[in-house]
Amino acid sequence: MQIGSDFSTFYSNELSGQVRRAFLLLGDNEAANDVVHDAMVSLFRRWDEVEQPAAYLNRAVLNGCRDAGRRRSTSVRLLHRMRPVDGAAEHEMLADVLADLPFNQRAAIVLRFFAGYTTNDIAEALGCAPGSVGPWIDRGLAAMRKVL
Amino acid sequence: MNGIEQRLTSLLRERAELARPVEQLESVTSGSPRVVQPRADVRSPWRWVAVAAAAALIVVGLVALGRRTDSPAQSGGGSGAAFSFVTPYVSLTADDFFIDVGGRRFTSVGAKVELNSDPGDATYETLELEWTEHSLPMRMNIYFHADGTQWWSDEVRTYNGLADVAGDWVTFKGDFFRSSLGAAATGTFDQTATENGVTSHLHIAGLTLRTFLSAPPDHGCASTDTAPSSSTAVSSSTGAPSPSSVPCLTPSTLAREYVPSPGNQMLSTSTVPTTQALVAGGVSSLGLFPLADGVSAEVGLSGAQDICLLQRSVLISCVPLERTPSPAQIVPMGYDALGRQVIWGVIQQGFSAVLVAADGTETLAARSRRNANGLYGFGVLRLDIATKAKIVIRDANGNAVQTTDLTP
Repeated sequence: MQIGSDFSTFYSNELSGQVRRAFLLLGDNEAANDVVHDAMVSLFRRWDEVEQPAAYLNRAVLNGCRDAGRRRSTSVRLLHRMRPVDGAAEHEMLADVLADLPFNQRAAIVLRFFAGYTTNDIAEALGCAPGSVGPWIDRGLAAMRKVL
Repeated sequence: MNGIEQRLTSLLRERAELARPVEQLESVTSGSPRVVQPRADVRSPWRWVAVAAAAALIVVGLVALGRRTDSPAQSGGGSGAAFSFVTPYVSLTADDFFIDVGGRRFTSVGAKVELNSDPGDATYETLELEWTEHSLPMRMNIYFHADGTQWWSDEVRTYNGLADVAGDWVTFKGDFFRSSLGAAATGTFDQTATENGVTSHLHIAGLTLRTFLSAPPDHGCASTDTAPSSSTAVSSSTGAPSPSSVPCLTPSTLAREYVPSPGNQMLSTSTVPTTQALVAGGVSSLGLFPLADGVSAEVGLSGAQDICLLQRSVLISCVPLERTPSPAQIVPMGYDALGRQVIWGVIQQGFSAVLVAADGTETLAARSRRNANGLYGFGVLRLDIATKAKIVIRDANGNAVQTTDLTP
C-alpha cells in the first residue's frame, strides 16, 4: 500500500469537510483545525491497520470535539462575541444556541442537517444506539425553534 | 424536511463557510502530535490574558506541589505519596495517591506535574493534572458541577498508561464527592474503571477536595458571607463603592445574586479576578469584557441582554439594555477602584458615539458597524470625573442627534 499517496489523497478529500464540521461543533477555527489534525495524526499512525479510515476519522474528530468542548472557556466565546461578522445575525444566534446544546445533541444536529447523515450513520459516529439519536435531534430542534 | 429543518441546514452551511481549514499534511505525516500552531496574527488581549492565566496556573501548581514526603501515608500496600494540588479554583490534598493502569503504578512522585483548571462557570469547572512517568504520558482530569447548593463530580478520567496510538482515556463515571457548596469533600476515592479492555484503579486516600473556590485573596473585596440580597441585583449604581466594603461574589454566588431582567436568563457566569470587566447576560450569551483606560470593549450584540459591571469579581450594578434604543442608550454604570467612571452604551447601526471632554476634545467612542441585530455596544472609562463631559451620538452625516451629560 502506498501510504503516502493514499493518505495524502484521503487527507485532501477529508480536511475541508472535517474542519467545517468541527468548526460548527466548536465555534472556533483554531480549535477545529487542532482537533482535526490531531485526529489525522492518530489515523496516519495506524493507517495500515484501520479498515475504514473515514469512519475512524469521524469518530476521532467527534471525540476530539467532545473533549475540546469540555475545555471551552468563557474567553473563547468572548473572542467571537467581540468580532461581529458582517451580516451574520442568524449565524451568531445559531452559534450561541449550538454552543449551549449538550454535545450529543449538537453533534446530532450538525451531522443530520449539515452532513446529511442518516440516523444509523449518526449513531455509529457517536457510538450510541440509533434510538438515542431521534430524541437528541428533537431536543436540539426544540432549542433552535426558540431562536430561529 | 420541514421549514425549520431547511432553514437550519441553510444556516449551518452558511456558517460552515466561515471555517478556515489549514493544510498541515507534512506535519501530520511527520508524526507531530500538535500540528497546528496558534496563528501569529491573533492579537486579542484575551489571548495574552489567557496565556498569562495559564502560566500563572502552572506556576501555582508547581509551587503548590509541596509534597509532604516526611510521612507519606500508605494504603493497601500502595507506594503513593501525599500531595497538594491547588489552583485558584480547586484545591485537592491527599495522604496517598496512585493510579494502577496498564500494568504500572503511577504516583507522580518526582515528576513535574502540570496543573490546570478550566475556570468554567458557576456550574462547571475542572482540575487537570498532567505528567510523565515510566516514560509515558499520564493525566488525571476531574470534572466538577454545581447547582447553586451542592457540588459534585460525575466524571474522573485517567490515561490508560499505554503508549502512542494505544494511549487513551479510562473514564470513571458516577456521583463522586457530592458536598454542599463551600464545603470540602473528605475521605477516600477508591474506584476501578475499565475502558476498551484496559482497567484503571485510582486511589486517593485521606483526600480533602475543595471546589468552586472564590477569587484569589488579593482582589480587594470582603467575604462572601456578607453578600447583599438579590433584590439589589438589577439597579444602577451612582456611587463609587469601596472594594473592601463590597462583598466578593464567586461565580456561584454571582449566579444567585444576579436577577435577570424579564426575557433574560442566566446561563453561565465567570469572573476575571484581576481586572475590571463588564458582563453581558442575555438569552443566549454571556461574556466578560476587559476594560482599559479610554474606550474599549466594543462588542456586537445579539438578543436581549443585561449589562453588568463587575470589579474584580464584585458585582457593582446591572442594567437591562434596550432592544431598540432611539438611537442610543447611554448608561453610567458606576466607578471602578481607580475612581474611573464606567459608562456603557448601545447604539443603532449607522450611528457613532463621541466622548466630548469639558475642553471640547472629542474622542470617538464607537462607530457602529453592521452586525447581528444592528446594535453595537461599547464601554467608556472616564478618569477625569471632576469635569463635565458628554457623550454625543451622531448620525451618518455627523449631525448630533442625542447628548448625554456626564456630570462630575
